[in-house]
Amino acid sequence: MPARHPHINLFPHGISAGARLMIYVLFSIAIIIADVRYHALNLFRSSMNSLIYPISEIVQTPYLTYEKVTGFFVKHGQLQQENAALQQRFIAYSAKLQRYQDLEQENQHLRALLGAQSRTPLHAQIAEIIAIPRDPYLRQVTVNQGSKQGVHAGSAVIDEQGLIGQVTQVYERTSDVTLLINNDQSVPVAVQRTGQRAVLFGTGIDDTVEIRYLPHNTDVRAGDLIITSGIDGVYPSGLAVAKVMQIDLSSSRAFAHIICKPVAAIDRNRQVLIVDTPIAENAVGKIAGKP
Amino acid sequence: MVFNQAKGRSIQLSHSGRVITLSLVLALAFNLLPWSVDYLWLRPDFLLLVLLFWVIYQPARIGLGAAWILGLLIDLTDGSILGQHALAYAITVFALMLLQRRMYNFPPWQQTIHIIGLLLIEQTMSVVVATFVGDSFHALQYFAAILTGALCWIPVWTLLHSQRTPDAKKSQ
Repeated sequence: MPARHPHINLFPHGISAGARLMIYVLFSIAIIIADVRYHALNLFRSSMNSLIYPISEIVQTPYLTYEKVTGFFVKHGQLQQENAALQQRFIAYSAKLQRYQDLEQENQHLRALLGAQSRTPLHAQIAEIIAIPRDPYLRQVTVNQGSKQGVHAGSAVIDEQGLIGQVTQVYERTSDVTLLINNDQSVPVAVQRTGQRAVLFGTGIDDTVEIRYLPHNTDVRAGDLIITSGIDGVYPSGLAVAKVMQIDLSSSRAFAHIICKPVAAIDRNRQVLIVDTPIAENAVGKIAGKP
Repeated sequence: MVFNQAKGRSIQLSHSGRVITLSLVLALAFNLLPWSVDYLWLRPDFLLLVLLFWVIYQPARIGLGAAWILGLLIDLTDGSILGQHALAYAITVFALMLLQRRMYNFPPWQQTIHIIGLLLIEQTMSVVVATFVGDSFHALQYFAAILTGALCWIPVWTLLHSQRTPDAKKSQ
């Protein structure tokens, strides 16, 4: 006969599954609120991220090796063709560059005459997109440059055509870039043709951004180029952002409804440029935590 | 009569702990694979599939706690709202725990039908959380990942089922 238990065990299975679910649900809600409302978990996020980083690095290796190997076995003819095309582009660009240098000098000279502050040179570094989240709400990508490489939160991210987004979270070796089309991502812009200042908002829809809060009588036409105005001190001025596609002036709206299409190939690139200006650094200090 | 002791082995330990851990790590790695942007909406959630498999066949070891922690891990790797997938995973696994007895005895193709429902619960919960937080929902194609996920169930099942311990293989 087995020995009798000194106590009768009333709950041999512990807490019921339903109760445990309740605990986990409440805990999740608490974390969601702490993260979204108070941004209290950024430190936890970045420290955990550097723990997970090796896994994603290992996962990328086969793909990167494949790219390297296929890159090695390129046809001679293809290389030649590419080389010729690049050379042609180089010539075209160098002609433009000469003009640009001349113009920049002239601009500096004129600014000096006017007594205006001279433009700060851009500092850019190349980064590669290494991950895209598996979630349609998140218009963001992860790039392979982090605080170790001198990336700051708030820097603008561009490709060869225009603005892609902004660095919003910097980890040790990677950083998260929120795309222009992310819901409510806002960029201070100007219409290139008229100089009209405005604010451009992401809509969360692919290839669509909109300009809000411009009155009906504003001079904006379809096809106008929208550039960054640079007055916020976060984005450098003069980067191409979007092209105006469609303008809805119906009087049922308080403001003109201007729909634009980003000029950058937002979801097509692998290489991007992270741009920051010396001004941006000061400005980021002021708006830290609210990129 | 002794009631506080099980008559036989109540739940068979059909897989070694090492296999479980390794499969979960591999599934997480699969989730982190670079994926073409054009087909991003088709990407199935391998981690969830593997997790569901273990909840069906090893419910004593993998349950709500594991689901919650793995969900949090997904939030960290995706950079989404912390707790969004943790909540969704926990609720999905709870739903599966209600079905566990019958899922255990189903053949894989019949499980697939239930898996569709479970994946739908997960997607819907994460959409609900995102909506409460203030995002607006546009892409109905988001739910396409449910179907690709369900298609992956039978391969995942076959792979994991083949990793049973020799003891478990003999007894069946």
